[in-house]
Amino acid sequence: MNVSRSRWLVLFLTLAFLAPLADAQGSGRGKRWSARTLELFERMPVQDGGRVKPLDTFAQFRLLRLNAKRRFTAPDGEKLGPTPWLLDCFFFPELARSYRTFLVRDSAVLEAIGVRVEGRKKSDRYSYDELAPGREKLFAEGGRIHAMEEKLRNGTETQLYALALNVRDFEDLTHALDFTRAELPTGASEGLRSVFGTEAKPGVAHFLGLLPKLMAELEARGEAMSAAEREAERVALVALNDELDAAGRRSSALAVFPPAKLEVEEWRFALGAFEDAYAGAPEPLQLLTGWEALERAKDDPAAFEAELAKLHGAVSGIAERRGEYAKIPLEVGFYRWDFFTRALVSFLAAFVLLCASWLAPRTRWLVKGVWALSVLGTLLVVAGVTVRCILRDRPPVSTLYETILFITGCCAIVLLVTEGIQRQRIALALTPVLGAAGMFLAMKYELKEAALAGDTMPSLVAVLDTNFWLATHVTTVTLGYAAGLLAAVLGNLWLIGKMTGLKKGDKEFYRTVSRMTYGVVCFGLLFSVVGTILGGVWANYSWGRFWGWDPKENGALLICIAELLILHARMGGYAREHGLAALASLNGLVVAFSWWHVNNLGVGLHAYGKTEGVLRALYTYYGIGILIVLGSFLWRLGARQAVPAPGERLSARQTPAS
Amino acid sequence: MTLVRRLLNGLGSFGLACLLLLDLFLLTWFGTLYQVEHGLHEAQKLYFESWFVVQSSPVPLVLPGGLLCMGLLALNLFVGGMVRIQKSKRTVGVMVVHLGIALMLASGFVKLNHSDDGHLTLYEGEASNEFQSYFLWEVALWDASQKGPVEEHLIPHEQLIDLTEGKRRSFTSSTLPFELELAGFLRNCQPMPKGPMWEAESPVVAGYALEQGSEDKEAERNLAGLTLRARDRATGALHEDLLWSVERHPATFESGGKTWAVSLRHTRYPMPFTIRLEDFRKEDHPGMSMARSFESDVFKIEDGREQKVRIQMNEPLRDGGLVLFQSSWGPSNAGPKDALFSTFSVVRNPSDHWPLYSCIVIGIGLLLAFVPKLLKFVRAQDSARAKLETSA
Repeated sequence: MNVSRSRWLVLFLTLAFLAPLADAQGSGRGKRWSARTLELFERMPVQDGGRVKPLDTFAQFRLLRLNAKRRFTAPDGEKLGPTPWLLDCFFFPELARSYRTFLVRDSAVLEAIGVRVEGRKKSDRYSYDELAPGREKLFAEGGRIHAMEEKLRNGTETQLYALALNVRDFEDLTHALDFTRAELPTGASEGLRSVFGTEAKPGVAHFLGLLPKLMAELEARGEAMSAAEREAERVALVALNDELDAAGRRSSALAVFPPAKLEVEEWRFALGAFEDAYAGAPEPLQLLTGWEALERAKDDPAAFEAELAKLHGAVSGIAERRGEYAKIPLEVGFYRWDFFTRALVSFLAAFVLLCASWLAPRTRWLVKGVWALSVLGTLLVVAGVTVRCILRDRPPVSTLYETILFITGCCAIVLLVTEGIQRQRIALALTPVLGAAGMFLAMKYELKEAALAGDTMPSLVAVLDTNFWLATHVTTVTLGYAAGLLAAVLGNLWLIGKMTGLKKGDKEFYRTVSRMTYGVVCFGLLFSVVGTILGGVWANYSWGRFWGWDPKENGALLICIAELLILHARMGGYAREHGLAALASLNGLVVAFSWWHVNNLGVGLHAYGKTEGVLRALYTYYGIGILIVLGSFLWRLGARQAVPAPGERLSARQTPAS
Repeated sequence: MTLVRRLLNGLGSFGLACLLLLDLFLLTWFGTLYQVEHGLHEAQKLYFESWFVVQSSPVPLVLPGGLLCMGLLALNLFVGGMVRIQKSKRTVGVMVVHLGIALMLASGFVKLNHSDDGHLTLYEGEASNEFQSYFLWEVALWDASQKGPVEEHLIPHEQLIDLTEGKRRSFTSSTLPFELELAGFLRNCQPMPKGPMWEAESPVVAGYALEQGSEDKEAERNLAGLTLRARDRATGALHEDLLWSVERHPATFESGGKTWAVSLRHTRYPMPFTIRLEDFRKEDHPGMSMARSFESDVFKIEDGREQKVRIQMNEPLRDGGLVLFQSSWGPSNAGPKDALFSTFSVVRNPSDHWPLYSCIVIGIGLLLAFVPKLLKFVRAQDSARAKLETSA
């Protein structure tokens, strides 16, 4: 027994000893990035997608696009997030190429480019090094597919194209700091050697800094040079310029050089920074020097941290003067606090307690727990949406992604308020279910946004750039969607409950659900009608026509008509409890059609949200919705037939006596 | 029960309301899907501006069309929701909502029948005092030998579009020395040299005939054409020509010692002022090719007075019953020093602000209808809970 224990001890000690060694050997960067380095780097501002954002946001969405997750495990076992991954891409590209960060959902994509990796699943992650043998074929295929109309591409082609884009983006990132490693031919002529010396230095800042001196030197020597010497100088300068230009073009992944002139909005890529430095601006040269110092210090964590602090100070100083830095720390905090994942966890935990409360209905603390966690989840959604509004100076809804957050938040609030009034645990039971479903959908759609827009806070097209109409029409109509979906959930609860025998015989329960459904439909109609007309008014004031039968307008109109139909059918006595539930359930399908489907039709003024994969999910929802409604009527038919007629009941009673 | 009362009962019934709402729902849904293959204009004509819809796919169906449905709905709303409805404090909200919907339907009716819309496209430095329709056509005829401003004789859209399948129409005027005959209107066509490979539907003029093409999904892209015959009343000389809407120069012929010009073009509407485009700017989001704003600086010239105005997205120019909106620009491949053109959508709509008013009325009505119900519900819940607590 003791021998065995000591063997295990030796094994653990050996592993403990070897682990850091393996880390040092495998990573190529000796140690992990320090917390301070990560903090400074993630707060570094960069202009991307039309706005200035933290490098952390940039890294998150780039990694999300490639990997479909924000974290991954490096070959040495280190868990890496977006910022360390981006740091590795910049400073240790060979290492980054070994990370399995490329998600390939179907191995047929790899077969198409002639790459074969043994022992992998059909859907798996691959490193750049593993994909590299098929690189040429991948880009050739990417070029071919690019020329095809989107709707003509099959599944494999769509994935091939996405992979080609991802590989290209990744290559750009790994070359982002090529200028810091460039070796310019500064010793190729007499004139150059007299200024730069004989020893070539990596980077471009040294050359750009001494450029005025070189010009003066050549000017001074100009007359004294022979024609041959002059030609030699010219050839050397052309070669140097070509090399500088090539280095700048390779380093084109990031616009991290804020222009010193306030009136210039566009941040500069490396090549632009060279041009500005060449024109004599001191700031770009300072920043170029800063990036080169980082590259030189990358193997010394303390020195790297110090250089990064200096560079961060310089970049953020300029950005601050331009009024573009103030929200950077808040945005970093927004993603660090991860409101929506935490909200999902809260709702899921509330759901677990809810299930437990069904098993032990008299345990009051379980119900209180459901309340607390549901409120917490809702507050997290509200807080996240609020921070997004502050970050973008926008009302809560301006993209499809934001509609999901807003709808989830509104549904949760309405349910909690309803529960506060009713105290029947019906609305309370639905809060965590809807909250978790909404947050889950948001997380899935975030991946689509990462692939399509590279951000969930993208710049808006000119016509949408109006806070007044976004705050009025878009918010109101989205509230209408929320109410329509909530009514559908309640309707489905009634239908499924009846079919499965939930609370059988409890008429009050079903009456309450029905009243809630009716109330939510009324609430939905108010917002849908006002929101739809406001949309028409916006169109009238922006394009000159109130109504153009555009698919998105029609979608909103369909919701209004469906809800009017529900209310008129109820008032006319054509739909009672069952009919109301069925119609509310079907209205949910209409909301889904208006919310997502019309954007995927590919026609109309609102075809701005076309998203791959959404149609399949929609058809599934339509199918399930229709089955539930049809099923409920079949169940009712069956239930009616199962009740014996009075005469039959009499004969049944008589049978034993006879 | 009298027949009138029974008729009123039927017209104002919930049953009819439900059927009409269902019809409108189906029309809107099918009309939306139809756009994918056939374009908005065709969908609009077939589903929303028709009396009846006969549909073969995706489901074979005959439905009352948009005009009939909305007309009946307006009647149902008036009879059921405003005349026959029980008037009480409880139904005030519903009546207000119906009033708002009636106002909205009325605004749609006014827009459909009494509005003009089109566009005005100007290059920087150009000016114009008229805009032209996207879809409607007209034939203009004028004395081309005259110098300076000319008087035009216009033949409107309605007198052109039915000139199909051999139908001809003659036009005469005491001031014209000839009789004009138009025929063979084609919605989308192009002149082609007549060869043995195709059967021309129009007469062959100077070796060319109009070849009919399929109609474009985007109706404003269609290029109409027709055939013209002008017979001199004095000499009987006949001139035959083809008119095509894209021709740069009008067709000309001699009659009565003058040269006459004829052109087929989009219907033009005069404006009470002249617009001169001074400068057009398109700004992109920094580092992107996505437009952040489109702006046109124009001068509005009226009675010799010039007023500088900026027209941009969401901020149109409203004056003289017209509204000019920033619509598009070009050429898309223009270099930094190339002159740009700006296109304004122009609308003359007497019911311009009615939708906003109806929105306010409907909003108030819905609040009046639903808020009391909500309060009643909350009070009922409170008292039910209080009863429960007392009994416990």
